[in-house]
Amino acid sequence: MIRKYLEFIRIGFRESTAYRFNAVMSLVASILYLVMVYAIWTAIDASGELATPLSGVLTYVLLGQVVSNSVFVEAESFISERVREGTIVNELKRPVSLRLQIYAYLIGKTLFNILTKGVPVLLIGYIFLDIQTPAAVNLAGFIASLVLSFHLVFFFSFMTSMLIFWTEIGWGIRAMRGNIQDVFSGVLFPLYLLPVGLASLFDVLPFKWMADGPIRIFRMDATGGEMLNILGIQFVWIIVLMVLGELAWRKAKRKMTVQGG
Amino acid sequence: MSLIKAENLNKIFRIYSNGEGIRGYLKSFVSRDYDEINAVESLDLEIEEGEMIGYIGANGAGKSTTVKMLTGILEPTSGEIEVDGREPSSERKKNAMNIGVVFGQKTQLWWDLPVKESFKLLKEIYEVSDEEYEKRIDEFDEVLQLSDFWDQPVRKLSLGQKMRCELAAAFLHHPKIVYLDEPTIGLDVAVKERIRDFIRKMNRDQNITVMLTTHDIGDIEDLCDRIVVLDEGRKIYDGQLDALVNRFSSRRLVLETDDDIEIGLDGVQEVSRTDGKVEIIFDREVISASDLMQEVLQRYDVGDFSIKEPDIELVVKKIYNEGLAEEN
Repeated sequence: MIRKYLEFIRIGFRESTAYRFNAVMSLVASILYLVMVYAIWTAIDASGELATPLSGVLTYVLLGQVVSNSVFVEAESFISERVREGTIVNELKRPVSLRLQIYAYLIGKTLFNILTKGVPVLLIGYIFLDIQTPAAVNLAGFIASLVLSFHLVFFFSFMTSMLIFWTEIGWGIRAMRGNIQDVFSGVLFPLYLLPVGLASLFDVLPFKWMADGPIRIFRMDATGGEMLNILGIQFVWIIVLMVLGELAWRKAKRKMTVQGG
Repeated sequence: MSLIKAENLNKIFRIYSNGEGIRGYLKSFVSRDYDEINAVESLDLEIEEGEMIGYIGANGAGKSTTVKMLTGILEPTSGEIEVDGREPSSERKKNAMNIGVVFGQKTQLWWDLPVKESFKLLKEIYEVSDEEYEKRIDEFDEVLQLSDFWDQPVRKLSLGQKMRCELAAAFLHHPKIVYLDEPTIGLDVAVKERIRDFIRKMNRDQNITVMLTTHDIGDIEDLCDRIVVLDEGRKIYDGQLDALVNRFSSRRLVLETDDDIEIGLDGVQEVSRTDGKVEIIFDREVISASDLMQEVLQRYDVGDFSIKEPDIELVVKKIYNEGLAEEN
């Protein structure tokens, strides 16, 4: 039973290795992005508009790249490719669960991304930005939080990908979800810069816990009880999104088995 | 008991339309018009273990829909299905362990990975032991020659190579039943031959039941004793292939002659001329070939002649065009 899905993890990883050039390019893109962001924030700082230390902002943004490069997966491509070309019947003719299959496949992709895009960016941070290694407890907390982030992003994206069974095209859904996610999660700018009123909006959305949470744990902004608090909220959101995704999946399945995709 | 049994099977699809113009488009968000299409209608089907049946019909006749229902991918609108004692749609995964399926135009192989990777995955999915796996791959290799491209990414394979892989993939776990939905579509003669050899071997040697949908007359002639013909969702023929061909009693007499031929005998259905040749279509139950020949030879100067049996292709074409009813 488990072996089937381990094999999907392997396939996900193995497929990523087939797109080596792609992996290199996206690491390069990530580095260029950091250079650009570095220039922008340095300029803002030079104008005297930045109320907090520049180094903190840069660390945060770099860690944002580490987190998003590592665990920001997307289920939309997988679903849309198969819905549009009708090959979803191949997933359904086999004795496997479609959901577990995508989940395992994306774990494989994520492992590859951590190695090729997450760790290298973190190393760049160590070399150029003087990032501090967190205390052992926080490092463990960061890793746990990253695992939870993966699930948060996975279940969110699985939920939105169910729309593809009706729209039949995935890129719009994927782009919209991805952009909203980047803004609200802290990948685009540090969420601690937000004014209080706006910050409370971010608090009630699930996105903040995808990147801002683990970043704060890594930076030791959140320790002890606060760290556990982050992990707890991540967990709750995972459950919520899992249930919503399940409901969406049932509708999609109904549509597929009745209407034939 | 039959291995596959379908009783009074119906599948109705709703086809939604978006209406015309901007108003129609906007309206379609609120209430959508739809047509209902009976893709499969009151279908009864029984297939015994070890049979190889050809499931034929024009495009849109409901062949793939039937296969999807039998595999549990689609739920029937009404009617009963039992495949090896199970209802496929409510026990999809259990049923899936027992079956192999090829959807001809929809590859299940991983596009960017070497062929062997997809097979390794299938091995785990269907819980095939290492030993069995090695044995079967060797066996498949003999007929399908998979080792020629075993290490190549699927995207680099030709259509024929891909289809050979798909076939092997469907039989890998030694299923009881294999459904093949247009397995030879778009392939050259040599590959078709090889694929037919393989299917025949699996059916004969291993008693695997095969249901084959196809437009290829060669597939049917080579492989199937029994055929089921579907027309607009309804079964119009179920029986031996030979018997179907014999129901078409029209024969053709082809003459080489320069004369203009006019025959007014009973049983002569059509006389047509193409350069240098005259073709007479006649019903052999009304007039025998020898009587017709005698009449023709008495009156005209004929260089050469031949009598043609109806070929299956013509029979099928006729069924697609006109249905079966008026032939009775």
